[in-house]
Amino acid sequence: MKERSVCLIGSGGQGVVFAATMLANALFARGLYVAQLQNYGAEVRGGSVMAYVVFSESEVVNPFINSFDVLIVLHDFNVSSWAKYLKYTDLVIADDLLVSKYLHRAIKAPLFRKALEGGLAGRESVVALGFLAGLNVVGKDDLKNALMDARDFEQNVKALEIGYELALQMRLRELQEFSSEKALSDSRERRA
Amino acid sequence: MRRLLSGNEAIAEGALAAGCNFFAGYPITPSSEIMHYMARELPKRGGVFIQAEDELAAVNMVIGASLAGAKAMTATSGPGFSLMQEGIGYAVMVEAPIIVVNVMRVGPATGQATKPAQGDIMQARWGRHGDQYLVSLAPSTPQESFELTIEAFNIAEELRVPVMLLIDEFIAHGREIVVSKRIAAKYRRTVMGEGEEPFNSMNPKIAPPLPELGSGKYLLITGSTHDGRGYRDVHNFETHFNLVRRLKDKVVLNLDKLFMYEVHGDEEPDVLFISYGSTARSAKEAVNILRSRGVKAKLIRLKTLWPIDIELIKRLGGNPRAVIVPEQNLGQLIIDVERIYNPFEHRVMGYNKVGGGIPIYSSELVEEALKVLSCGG
Repeated sequence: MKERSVCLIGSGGQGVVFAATMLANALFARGLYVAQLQNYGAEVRGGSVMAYVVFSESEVVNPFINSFDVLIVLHDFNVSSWAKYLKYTDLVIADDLLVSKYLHRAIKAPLFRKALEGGLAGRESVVALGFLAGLNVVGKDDLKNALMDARDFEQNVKALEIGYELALQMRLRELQEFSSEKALSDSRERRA
Repeated sequence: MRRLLSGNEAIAEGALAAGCNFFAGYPITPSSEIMHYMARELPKRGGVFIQAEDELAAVNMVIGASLAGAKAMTATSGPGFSLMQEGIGYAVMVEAPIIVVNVMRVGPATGQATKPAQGDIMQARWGRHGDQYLVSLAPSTPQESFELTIEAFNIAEELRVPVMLLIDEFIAHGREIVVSKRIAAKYRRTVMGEGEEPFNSMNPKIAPPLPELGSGKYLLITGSTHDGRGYRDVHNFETHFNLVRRLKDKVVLNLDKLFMYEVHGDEEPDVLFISYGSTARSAKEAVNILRSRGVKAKLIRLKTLWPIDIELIKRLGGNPRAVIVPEQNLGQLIIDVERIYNPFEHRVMGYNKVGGGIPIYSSELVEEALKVLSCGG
């Protein structure tokens, strides 16, 4: 399995670091080597936040990367800081309401609006996690297990399902070249 | 046990594994998780946790606890580290085994709170007045943070010297897999026996013993020059000279034991990287990329930033055409590298980048190396 990476960009308070932590935990529980990094300022809310997870079957030599397999932009506050990441990443998904800059290459997805409709404002990062599960980046059940350690399990699972369904509706699966689940089952076969 | 831990959590775990039973600190991002962890775990294990009123109090509490027999640690970041310098200098003088973790962030002053940097490595070494020698270590992964914290306690106890543990925010907040091990033997300071003195050692490589609390023996402690018994002597040349020379010798004469490093790449490289901490991970990948393109490359990663064995580095490095020192500061370790590779005879260059939380990428180092090599020389 090649080294894989997922990056989330947003604004403080949206749960970007939380989502990256849950994603890392879910992949770790799968037996993968995981490195999670983040960049944020001193603000609690409103600052620019970036978090990413690199995962692989073998040890990650260097987690300092500037292009990702998937990048989700939840807010465009100070998004110009991450212009290079957006440029180098093939699959960029951007919230269709909160992101208006750097949209020329991104696929728009109503992550925030779906969260709002479900009464889950502020949980758009968990909707994004469900979206990633819908893209087959990570197992939905693995994410659910990871979320059991966090607060508001039921609401988070609801958000997760919303994101998952959204990804399926948008038929983005075909765009995705990789499937970590498939890669994992392949490698398990190799090991056996 | 295999867990997903941040560098900060790994340091706290390492401290507990090493038998740390006293922690005093004052919160500061990006080091606070160490304090949170110790506040939660120490009382469960019969240890003591104190949130001090400021960093000065924290470091002095740690010195007191250590001399009373505890294995003591504090953790801070740049601004707090500056405040702690006075206490660290005092700890050198009274030979208190303490651990000070500095999770480096962008400075000077408040800088860009709380983005990562590697700007405190010279401060860790020279930040205090007077002649003083201590040890500073720089892990580059959460796993190594765990291991070097244990090592730091062993060194501090064995040599009765403060040990600085320098990590940057990337490693401190980054989460990776840490396999924690049970530690079979924990090094403990020598307990003072009959006829021995707490500030005198016949062998300059060995630190003097400390009396055990409650054993009935006295321990006089002063930051002023003192003789073997701990009595103040602020007049005689010999007393002072013997003291500071012994404080230096016990560090520098143990260089072979204290200097830890990792070597990766070709035996006789054309381009040599010398790096430490998180930056060394990009350098390691750069070495792999360069080698895959047919360039002979090597990395010497320093786990110990002081004392440095410059002769050993010279031997390990061979005779490279270019030496690149990537650092998240404007050039600090390179001062030492220039003692090894004369800049008038070798191409010695820093690759410096700091601020904004943007790391040095391996692609930049590859590009730099190819550029330097193509220039000839």
